[in-house]
Amino acid sequence: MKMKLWLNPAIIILVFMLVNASGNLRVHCSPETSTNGGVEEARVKFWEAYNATVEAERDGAEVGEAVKKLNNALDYVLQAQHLAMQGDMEHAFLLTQASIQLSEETLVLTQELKQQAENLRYTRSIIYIIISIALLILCICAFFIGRRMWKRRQQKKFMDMRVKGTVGSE
Amino acid sequence: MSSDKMGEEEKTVAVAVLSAIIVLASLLVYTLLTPVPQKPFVSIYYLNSEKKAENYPELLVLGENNTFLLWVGVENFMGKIEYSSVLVKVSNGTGQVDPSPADPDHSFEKVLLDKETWGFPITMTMNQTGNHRVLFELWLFDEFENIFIYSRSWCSLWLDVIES
Repeated sequence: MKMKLWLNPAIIILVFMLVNASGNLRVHCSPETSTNGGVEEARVKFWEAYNATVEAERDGAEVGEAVKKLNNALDYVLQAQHLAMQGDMEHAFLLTQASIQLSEETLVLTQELKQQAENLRYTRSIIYIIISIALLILCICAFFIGRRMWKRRQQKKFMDMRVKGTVGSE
Repeated sequence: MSSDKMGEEEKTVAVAVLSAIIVLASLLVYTLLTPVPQKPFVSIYYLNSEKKAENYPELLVLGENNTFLLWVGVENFMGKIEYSSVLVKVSNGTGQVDPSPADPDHSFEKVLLDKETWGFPITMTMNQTGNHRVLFELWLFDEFENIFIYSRSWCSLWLDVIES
């Protein structure tokens, strides 16, 4: 009863496929959604949206609107959690879906806010450069014109003194 | 030739003085426009039912005034938004605090903008006689770890509950 040579790898592959398939099955049969009405999923999405908002704020975006949406999403998650604890999975699921929707909207909004902030920063830096150059030119002009006026005044003073001196000697 | 040389010297001095003035002016403007950095902090506090820091409930009588209302306030001065959680715990006053290992009786969560104050009412009922300590702990969300971390900000209220 010797096993044929080609049969060994075939059995190994078959066993590997079975193990892999059961692994996938485990992942797909994650009981989260069924046991807590999708609260965990909604929380994870909320964290993702929150992290994106933090990042947008760090980039200089005005995140007031995003935070409002986040708080609405959070309210839905907390309500869903409460309902899930009472056993009302159907309503909990609806609320978590609404929360996920809001979190996704927040993610889109934060991207827009980040883009706006970047544009604003670019425009500001250009304005600052233009103002700096204009001020520099103004300073240089003021300095040289002032110096010329001061010199002229000094010369006039000197000439007046000479004229006075000449008149006095006569 | 000599006057030309003087002119050159004068120009050099003028440019040097002008450069110095520009550099000093820039530094001055920068200093004036840059705000003084503040140490970031969060705080938590409670007020009585009339939102005043006085006449807190102290002595509760079972069946008479053992239900009370407090206003809890949280201030965010961290310089950024904060996802905060307030845990309300009740202990008999002998256990560890900061943070207390007791399970929270209530929890409240909100995302706060920078410099935002969040106030909310909480109604509590004490059903057991004895000395109790109501603890309000503030936890902040860590966006890197995706968990709440204790902020070391807390406050507590001592209550004496007696039978009627």
